[in-house]
Amino acid sequence: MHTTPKGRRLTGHARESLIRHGFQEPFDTVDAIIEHATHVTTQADGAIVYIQRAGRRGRSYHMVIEGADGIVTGMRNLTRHELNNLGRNYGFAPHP
Amino acid sequence: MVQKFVLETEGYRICFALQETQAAKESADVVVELILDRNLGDVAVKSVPTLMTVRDLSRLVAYFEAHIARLQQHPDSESYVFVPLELGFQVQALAGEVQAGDDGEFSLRFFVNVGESDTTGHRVYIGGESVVTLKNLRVFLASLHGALAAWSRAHGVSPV
Repeated sequence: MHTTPKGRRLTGHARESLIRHGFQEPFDTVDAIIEHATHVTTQADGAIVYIQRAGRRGRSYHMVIEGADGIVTGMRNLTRHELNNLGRNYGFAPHP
Repeated sequence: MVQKFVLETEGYRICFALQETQAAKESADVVVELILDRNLGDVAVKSVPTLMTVRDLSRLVAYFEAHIARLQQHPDSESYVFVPLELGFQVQALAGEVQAGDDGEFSLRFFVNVGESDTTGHRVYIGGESVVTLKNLRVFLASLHGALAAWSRAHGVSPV
């Protein structure tokens, strides 16, 4: 079973998608986003969405989604517009 | 094996090239290409390869079907911006004229994610807006329905 350094399970999808989104193994950045999230919310399907403000003047967002089977995906440097689109599509509130 | 699904508009066509991945049976590798009509210029842009889930494909079909149904009552309605989980593209179905059956058309805005900027790491999208006929959209949706059925048979993955 593949996990992050803090023991969070990674789905097969996540193992591929995280690398494509610039995360490097052993995916400690995934743990960091979860542990330093500035907003935690829940998708319509029950998955937990961890959002961390980042970048210059906090104008970008890092995000990790964790479902029942483990980490689903993660993305860095999302714009506010992208985050809002994801929230609208996946049924979560992107902002506190 | 790469499977291709094409959505033809008046000004550009969108080609989805899907390929199975080893790591996840619920996802496919996808590259989305926007190709400008040859009469308008020699332009084609490809997205970076991203993963697309079977659920996203199913949502895309439902998105267009809901838009067509809405336009019959409200021709000025504009749907929200559809994005897949991995942000490989953005599509927004806009106002149009739709009658019952396959008679109608509406404007379609489509952007592909071509990569990340060097300075901030923000994704960059390139795209266009043109009119799509219901007839062409139905051809695209039928091909996606077929792909979803095949995916379900091969992997036992439900799109919902």
